[in-house]
Amino acid sequence: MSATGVLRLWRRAAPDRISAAVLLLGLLLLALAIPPVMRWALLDADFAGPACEGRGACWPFVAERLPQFLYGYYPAPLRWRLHLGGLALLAWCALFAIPGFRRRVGPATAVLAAVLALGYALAAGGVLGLQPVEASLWGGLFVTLLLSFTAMAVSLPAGIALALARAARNPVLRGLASAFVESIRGVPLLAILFMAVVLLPLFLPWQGGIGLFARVVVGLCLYASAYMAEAVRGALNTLPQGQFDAAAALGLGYRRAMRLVILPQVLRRAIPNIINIFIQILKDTTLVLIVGVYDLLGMVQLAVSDPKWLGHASEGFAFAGLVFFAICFTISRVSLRVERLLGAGEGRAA
Amino acid sequence: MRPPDRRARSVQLLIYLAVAAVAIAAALFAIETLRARGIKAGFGFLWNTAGFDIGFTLIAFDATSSYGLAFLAALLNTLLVSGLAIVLATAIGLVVAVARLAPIPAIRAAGRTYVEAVRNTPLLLQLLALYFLVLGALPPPRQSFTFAGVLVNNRGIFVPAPSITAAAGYALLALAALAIVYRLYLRRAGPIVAGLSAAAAAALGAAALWLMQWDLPALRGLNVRGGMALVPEFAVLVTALAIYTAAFVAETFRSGFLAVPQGQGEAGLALGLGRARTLRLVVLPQAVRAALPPLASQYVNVIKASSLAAAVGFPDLMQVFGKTTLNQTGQAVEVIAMTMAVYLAISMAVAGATQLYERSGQGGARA
Repeated sequence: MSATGVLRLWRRAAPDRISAAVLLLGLLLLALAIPPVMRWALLDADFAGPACEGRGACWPFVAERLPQFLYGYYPAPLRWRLHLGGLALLAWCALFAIPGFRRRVGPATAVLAAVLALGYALAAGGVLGLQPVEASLWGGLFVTLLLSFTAMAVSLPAGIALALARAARNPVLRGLASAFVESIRGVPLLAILFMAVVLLPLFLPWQGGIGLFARVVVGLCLYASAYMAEAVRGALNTLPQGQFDAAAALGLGYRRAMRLVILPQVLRRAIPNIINIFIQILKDTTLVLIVGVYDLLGMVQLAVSDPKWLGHASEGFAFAGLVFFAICFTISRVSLRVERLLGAGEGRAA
Repeated sequence: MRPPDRRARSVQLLIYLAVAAVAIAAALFAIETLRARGIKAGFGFLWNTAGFDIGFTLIAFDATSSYGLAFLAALLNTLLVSGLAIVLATAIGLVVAVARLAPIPAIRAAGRTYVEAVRNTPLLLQLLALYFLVLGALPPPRQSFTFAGVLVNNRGIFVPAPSITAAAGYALLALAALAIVYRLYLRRAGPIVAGLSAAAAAALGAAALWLMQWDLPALRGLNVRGGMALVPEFAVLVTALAIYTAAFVAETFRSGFLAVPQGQGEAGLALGLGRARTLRLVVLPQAVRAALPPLASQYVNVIKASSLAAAVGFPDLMQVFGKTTLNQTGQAVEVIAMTMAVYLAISMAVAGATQLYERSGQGGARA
């Protein structure tokens, strides 16, 4: 390309000083970052062999630790139970290919709850002649998914109830629901987890309390419910008053109006926000490692602190980052598609 | 639907009774458990000696200080970390937002890559990865980098600490007086006065620096003594919070920009302002006005997310109070209530201010 061609391209790319500065800065960063990263991840990297000597990435470390990243310390001969649970979860996702199922939040949640109940039974054992496995052995990606989907399945009905309570006439109900939602949303998740782990046993009548995993689940569900309530309330507020009036004019009572007229529309409008909250929850489950439950990130952190593999933190975090990115990015694409489908299907000016 | 009748009133009464019953039962169980553990309820422990040191404080604190002072020091650390992260995140976010709206596909793609990569991975992962990377890159104390009295190693960055002498204090006071006089009387007095004032300010500043006593950091065995320490946890936490929040701030600014009608930018160009000045004088003020309420809630999120300090051991409110103090005193109810109350108060205050702003008619999209 000739010099004038380059100049013209540059003029078009950077028509003023601000974009020129941004463009230069970006090009500089790219030029600085890409070669070393490529050299580290691919060119200088070790891909096979029991040990690494190269100066690049050591992928055998990730390969050796992969079972722990996925299952924690779950006994190897029993991992088929987790695979079975995972398949059930995938089957639940596949249900969304059915057009009639897609927009119906209620049935979707009910099936998810059944899948999760099966998942807990399979993971914990002790029923159906399955050998029990302590929750302290659970870990890795399996715990990440179990925690986030549980929070989702619990928070949806809880969030709907809270949102309806905040819109209720009864001032006591309204006040209680508002106080709950606003106080949960006003404090960090870590504070809620500490509260669930440390305080919850104090308030329970039976001695010994409940296990750490269960307490963490309670904390996450409290947190998720408050945010879900806001998503549902937001959608409820956008519903035209005419819908409420029409339901009343048909002679429907509160329950039937909600079940037949209001909630189906509200939930459909809330779906994009519900999915965004799910992504947020999935990312936030990593915080459980601070209170001693080892999700995917927790297992990675344990692995990179292992003296046998010292100095391979980057590989571990890169792996965890790619897994989280793959899951969250996929879900956010789905969310965009759903948003477009809903906009087109309803033919409304959002 | 139906007007409040006797049934509605009895439902209310039932809810009251149920909530009260659960609360009383929970309180009774808690009192019983705490008595069994030998813990005296109440906030008296705040005046007891803490017995631990805090690695990074803005106020004087040592092991003989009280838990109450530890609370204050930790709270200040939380505010400092959040404040710095908010400023950095806003700056990065604004640049990324401009990049995402740039007329050139390559710049837009770069901005989008940043936002997607950051938003689709957990903050805690970014924080831990950065922490391990930085700690791995820094040398142990024996092999510290030294440059102009500054020591850098994996215990932190150590800079010379000034202690203000009386003479330096007078120089600083004179500098402040000069700044006030200039601001009030001399600002419009022309270039000669401005140049003279700048020279005087430079001289006073140099004199103040010269007259201060500098406490230089130095290696003593395996530790560094003297100087001011910036612990790596601090820098890592601020950076990670800023990088993560910037992606969300960028999206907020972007929708702010999109809320400004296109005619505004065209009007600026038609007035001959040029692209850069149109952006700065016409589009940006309107975009910021539209973006302010969601921006405020992003800032509250930064304050809440700064509690992840507990994962890298930076002494913020959550680490010092929620973890260390809780473990030492066992005053679980009081400690967690105080910690939560602080975050809640900040969130509520910002939410209230945003509501006032929106009601005052300043904010909101304009057609």
